[in-house]
Order: sequence, then structure tokens, then C-alpha cells
Amino acid sequence: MEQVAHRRKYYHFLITTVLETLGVPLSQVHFVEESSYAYSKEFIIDLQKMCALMTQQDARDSMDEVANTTMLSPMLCAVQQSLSEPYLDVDIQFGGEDQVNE
Amino acid sequence: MINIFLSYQRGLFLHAEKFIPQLGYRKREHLMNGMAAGLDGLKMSSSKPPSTKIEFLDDPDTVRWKISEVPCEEGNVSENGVLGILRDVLIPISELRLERLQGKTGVNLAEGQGVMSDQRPFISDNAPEGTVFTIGAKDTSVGQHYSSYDEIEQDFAQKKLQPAALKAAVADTFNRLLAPIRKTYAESGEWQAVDKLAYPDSDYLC
Repeated sequence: MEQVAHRRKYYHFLITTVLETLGVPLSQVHFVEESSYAYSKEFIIDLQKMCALMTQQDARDSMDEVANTTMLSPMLCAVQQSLSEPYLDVDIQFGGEDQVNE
Repeated sequence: MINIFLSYQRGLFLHAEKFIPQLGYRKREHLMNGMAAGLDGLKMSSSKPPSTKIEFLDDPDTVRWKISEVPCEEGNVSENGVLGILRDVLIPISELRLERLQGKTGVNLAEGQGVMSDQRPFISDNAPEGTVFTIGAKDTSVGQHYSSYDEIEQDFAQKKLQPAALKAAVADTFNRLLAPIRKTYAESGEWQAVDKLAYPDSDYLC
């Protein structure tokens, strides 16, 4: 877990620097740590509700990396990321397209 | 507020669209962009080896070496990794910088303001209007000016543009783009310390 925190800091440095060199105004960019909301009672209850609604196949369909995993934690990635939408109260989520799991 | 994730998202977006409303929350909008090409001419991925992509902190020699190693057969434009990064990375950034110079930043007036690093587009000083990329910019008298990626691809297909000249231009331009990132890293003891802790086995600091 400590290494994860270091990597978060590393990427904070990197992404900030890259955005700056691309001319993105940093005053308009905000970083939120998942740990700032993901350990609340409310979040944990939503996580459990979502796990109760999902099949294992729903988790496997969400990402290439999870399609054949034997471990449990990768299967929870989609749950965590989907729940970030209401908890960050975002309007739009932006990402790269994926051709595989259509 | 916009939530940005950088890996392949389609399956994850479908997951959110299916389950977030079931928990009583409103559905969010999802935007996807195409995936940038890797040096292997295929989709770039963090799970592929470092030789298939240019990394933010690669030094100038590594950038030149990686690009020199990319298969880039004369006249062949399919699965050409050098053309791929020119199309997906360098030309869009050059166009962005040109638009800012022309004041075309849309509604965000703060965009591109107060940037300390080099923000010149990737064209030579004597390039005619409409140029988005110059090959051979160092020697401006023989610089070849292009107003779109398609023109470059066409010249390459017709063997008017040689692999060596293309590779040299792409490597030099990439190094120009990365120089301010390397400089910030070199000047930040804090970033270097975090790097050691985050990636203890990496050879970034060797």
C-alpha cells in the first residue's frame, strides 16, 4: 500500500508537468485521491450493493485484464471506478476506446 | 467536473452505465478517444515493453535509439510506428500550438497562457502559412513543409520522403517536446525521491 501511495505521488508530478508543458492551466485541474471518499460507510455500502447486483461475468466483461483472472481484486476494479462517478459527482468520464469487450 | 481515465474504457463505461442507475444515481456521460499508436505500429499499451513506446522521461539518446529501431520500410505506410506517432502525437500538438498563436483557443482564455517552456509549433521559421510540420527544419533552406499529416503519408508512400529523414525529424521533435519534462524532473529532488520509492527496480536513475 505504501508503494501505491508513492506511485500516486509520482504520477501527480508527471501528469502535472506534462499538462503544464502542454499549456493546460493548472488552476483548472483538480486531483482527488480515491482514498478521500472510498473508506466512508456510505461508499462501502454502495460497493456491497453493487457486488450483490453483479455476476462474475459482468466484472469480466469490464476490462481485458480481468477477462481471465483467477484473483478477486481485479474483478473489483470496475466496481471502484463506476462508483467514483457519483462520489466525485462528475458529469463526464473520458477515456480511450477499447475494441475488445464490445 | 470531468473524470479522466487513460486506459481502455469501453467495458468500464458500459459497466457504469448499467449499474450506477441501479443504485439510484444519475447516469454520466462517457467520451472516448482513439488510442494512440505505439512504435510497433499497433495500439500503445502500458503492458507492452518500453521499446514499443517513447516514455516521458526517456533521454534524447534513448528517444533517437528507439525511433531508429522502429521498422519503417521505404514507401510502406501500413503499421508504420514512426508515421503513427507523427499522426497521433506530434501533429496534433503542433496544430494546437498554431491555433493558440492565432488566438483560436475557444472559450478558455487561460489556455496556453503563462507557459514557461518552448511552445513553438513544429515548423521552421520560414514555413509558409498553413504549415503544420516541417521536415528538415534545422536546415531551413531545404525544409519540407507540410500542411497536413495526409500530405506526409502521401509523400512517404510515393518515396518522396525517405525513412531516415522522417525518423530524424520525428526524433528531434519528440526530444523538443520532452525537454521541459526532463528538465522539471532533473530539478525536482522531491520527484526523484518519489521515483526511487515508487519504482525501486527501475533504471530511470542509473
